[in-house]
Parts: sequence; C-alpha cells; structure tokens
Amino acid sequence: MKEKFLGEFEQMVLLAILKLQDSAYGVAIRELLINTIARDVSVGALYTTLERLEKKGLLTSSYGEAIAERGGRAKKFYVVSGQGKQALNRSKQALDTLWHGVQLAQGGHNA
Amino acid sequence: MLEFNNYPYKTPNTLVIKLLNWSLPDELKDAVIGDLEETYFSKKQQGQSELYLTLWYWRQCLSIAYRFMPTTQRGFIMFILSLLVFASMMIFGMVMGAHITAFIDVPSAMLVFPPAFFFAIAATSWREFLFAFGCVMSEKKDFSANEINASKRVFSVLGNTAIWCGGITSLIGWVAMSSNISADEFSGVFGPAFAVSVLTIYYGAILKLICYVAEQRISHKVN
Repeated sequence: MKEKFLGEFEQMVLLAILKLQDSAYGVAIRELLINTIARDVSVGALYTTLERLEKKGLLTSSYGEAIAERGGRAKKFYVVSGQGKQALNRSKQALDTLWHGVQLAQGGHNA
Repeated sequence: MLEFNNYPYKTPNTLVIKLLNWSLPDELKDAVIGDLEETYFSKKQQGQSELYLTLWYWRQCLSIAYRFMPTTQRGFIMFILSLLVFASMMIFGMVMGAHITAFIDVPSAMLVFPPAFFFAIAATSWREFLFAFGCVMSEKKDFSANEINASKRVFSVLGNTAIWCGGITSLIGWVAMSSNISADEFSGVFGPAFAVSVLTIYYGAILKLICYVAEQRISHKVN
C-alpha cells in the first residue's frame, strides 16, 4: 500500500501527544500547542484531526473517569500507536532529506 | 455522564450543549463537551468576563458543529438542501409565471397552515408532534417501530390535513365567487379572484410534499 505522509498539524498533534505521555487529552494538547509553539487551535479543529489520526490507526484512545471540573464528563486520553511513530519518523526523515543543503538567510530568502 | 448538582458554575446556555450533542459523534461527546467545560471554568477562574466566555463558548460550538455536521448529520443536510432546491425552483417558476406577490396571500396561508398543525397535534399529541420533528433531524437509526409509526402518523396527518384544508377553503372561495360575481363584471373580476382562491390548494400541496419527504426520511430508521 502506498504510504502517506503526515500533514504539518498532524505531526504537531502526534508530537504533543508523545510529549504529554500518559496525560494527553484535548485540553492538555491544546495548552501544550499554545505554550510551546503559540498555536491556538479551536477545539473542533483539534478533535477532527484526532479523529482522523485515530481512524488511520496512528492513535489509540481510552476514556478516563468523569470529573466535576468537566461537568461530570470523562477525559479521552490519546496514545500514539506504533504505526503513528513510524509515520512520524517517515515524515521527519523526508523533511530532513529535503532540508539538507538548504539554508535560509534571515527574512526567508535563499542564501 | 455523572451528575454534579453542587458544582458552582453553569455552562452559558443549554442550547449550546444541545447543538453539540446533536452535531458530535457519540464517541466524542463526553471528550469534546468536557474539554469545553473544563476550559470555560478555568478561564472563568482566571477572571474572564461572562460575555467574553459566552462568546468564546458559542464560537467553539459553531466551529465544532461546522466541522462535524457534514459527517454526523449528512442525511439532515441533504434534506434541507433538497428543500432549498425545491424552494428555489418554485420561486423561479413563480417569478417566470407571474409577479411573485400573486403567490403570496396571508389569509390563504392562515386558512391552511395553522389548522393543519392544530389538527396534527390534536390527532396525535404534543409529545409525538415534537418527537416526529426530532426524528427527522436525527441521524440515529435505532428508533422503535412504535416511535417510527407515531412519527410517520404525525407527518401523514399534517400533510393530508393541509391538502384537505386547502381544497375545502378553495371550494368556499369558489362558492363565494359564484354567488357574488355578476355577468357584467365577470371578465374583470374572475381571474384575480380565482387566482387567490386556488392559493390555499397550492399551500396545502407544498406542505403535503414536505411531509411526504419527511415521512420517507424517517421510515427506514427502525432499529
């Protein structure tokens, strides 16, 4: 089967989940993206990506316990699957290969 | 979902939660609504104003509905689109045929729509009436045979009553016309009077068509 590469936001989400380890759920992922790369994504945008990645088999998920701060609703925790880690590696290698020998001067013009 | 009666905050609007519950897939409802609640309460504790938080919640909710509705509510969107196409074709036909105001008559509409709705509620029940509309909007296919039959009955009564009301009131109009128009004024008065009198049949037929499509849409939703 032809292997597909990940989109930029998909990579960011997968990396955020890897960084958060066992506590990767919607709010924590959004906060990490805001605090580390200043990317404020909507809840809808995040969950459509999470759902797509889960359907592709790159993520697995499980519900935790319902808590009061969430109006009695449970958190959905995400974990990157082996397939997801492979896809991340493949995308990183592809980008590294393309970036090899390219240097950008300040302002974004080719040196 | 657990109940927390003593929780100090309330979400901005139950309508938002209803919209989220309607547009989200079942497996994401707790996760997404829970995340929104958690962020809402956290922002509230940081001292954000009520207005800002309500607008934030609504913006997030509309963005979620926009993203998930095409997959979770595909059938309902197609139903609305088909009604819009039908309405635009009808308006096109009306504009091409005559001036559009010739097709708008408030008394004729009042003779068809309110009685049809009242008859439908009287013949079924208010609960069944509301349930039938909820059934059309829902994408679930796990309704019981009794629920589907009751909902189909609502649309059947509503559509048939509309067309009957339209027909009967047109007949009343024809009787009134026939008994009031003299031979001298016939050629000048008959046309406009007849046009208005058949509008009730036209309105009834429109409602009957919509009810027929709604009935067909819910007929396959039996568990």
